[in-house]
Amino acid sequence: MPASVRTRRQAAIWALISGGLAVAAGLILRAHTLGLWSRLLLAVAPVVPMVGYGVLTLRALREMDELEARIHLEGAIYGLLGSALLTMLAGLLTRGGILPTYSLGQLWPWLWIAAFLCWAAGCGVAGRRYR
Amino acid sequence: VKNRLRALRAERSWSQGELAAQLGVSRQTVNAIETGRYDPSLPLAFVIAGLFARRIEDIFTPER
Repeated sequence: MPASVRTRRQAAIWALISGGLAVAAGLILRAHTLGLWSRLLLAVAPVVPMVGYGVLTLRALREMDELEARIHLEGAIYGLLGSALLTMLAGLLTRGGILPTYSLGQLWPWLWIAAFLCWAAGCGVAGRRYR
Repeated sequence: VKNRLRALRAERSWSQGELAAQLGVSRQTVNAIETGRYDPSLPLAFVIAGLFARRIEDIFTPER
């Protein structure tokens, strides 16, 4: 198994841990019954494995062969552009009163999902070009 | 950039996978180079040239 595939699997595990912690923390924090430090700890906990995910993803990128790395970089640009466009559109639609106002606390999971879907779609588009 | 990679590989009866393994890249990379969809980096071009014991310009030529 190529080293980059192994590293990407490790990164996926860290992302799953982060996602699981984020869901659990979101449910617990919704109750508003904890003290300040407990809430702070819960809010920070999912971020820590996400840092591990980022580090491992960068390591996987360096381990990939050059075409695969190029495809993933193009995909990341699609992801960045897609999430930037969606954020801009949602912000302007909200300001125009067309969309209801949501807090960042409600919106961030959707933004996160949109960014990753744009990244995956971008990798698919870039991959097809070199097939 | 045009290249003679497919012809050189055929001379040795190597599959794309076998060539990819010797170059340390994926089969998709070899296929993309052969079909002209992807131009390899200079380090990879040197590895290809070394493997076939040719000069880079004997394998890769600019499209005019």
